[in-house]
Amino acid sequence: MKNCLKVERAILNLTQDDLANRIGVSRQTINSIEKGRYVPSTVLALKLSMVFEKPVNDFLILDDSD
Amino acid sequence: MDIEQLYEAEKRRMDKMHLQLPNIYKKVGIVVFTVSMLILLSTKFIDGEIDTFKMVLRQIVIASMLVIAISKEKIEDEMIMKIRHRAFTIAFIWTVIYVLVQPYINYGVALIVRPERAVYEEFGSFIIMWFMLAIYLLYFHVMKRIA
Repeated sequence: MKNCLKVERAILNLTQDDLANRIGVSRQTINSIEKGRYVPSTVLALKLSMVFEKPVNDFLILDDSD
Repeated sequence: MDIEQLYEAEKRRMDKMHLQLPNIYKKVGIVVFTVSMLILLSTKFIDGEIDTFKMVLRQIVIASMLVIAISKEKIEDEMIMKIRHRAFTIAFIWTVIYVLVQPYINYGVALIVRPERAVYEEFGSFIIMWFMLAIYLLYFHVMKRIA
């Protein structure tokens, strides 16, 4: 799964720490999602969607391996 | 109460059950583990009847490792929970393999080195629990670092 969390974060001018605090996870988790090492759960994806005010599909994209 | 309600009630009970301790217990566990492990190792150099003392120390070592294992991280989020589940699975599988295979390896090595004293021996509960908890803690720590 690809994602453009970093871009969305930059648009809102949020650090990894800010985003992590807003959705109640650690900064490490945000970093792992951005690097593609961890795929967020539905609940976490929806929380991100609320912060970015965008549908989940706009920042989480399935790739050929999924 | 029909089977559906029973299932739902059981599911709710399981969801509520958090077998975890607050983060502060992790430090307590590390201190107790270090101290008890050092004393346990030092008993190798002490002569005399101290079997009961050793047994109690072993129990403290296992209990402290369990406390470390079930203590929460500072931020216990879903990624940490996933790493925990994976670490528990790996530790369980490796322990079963270890318990099944290692006695034969020990016996084989003893046959080569000291054939007259070679005896097939299975592991005691302390070694099994120690191994499982050690694998869990090691794997959890490494996975957390590289996640």
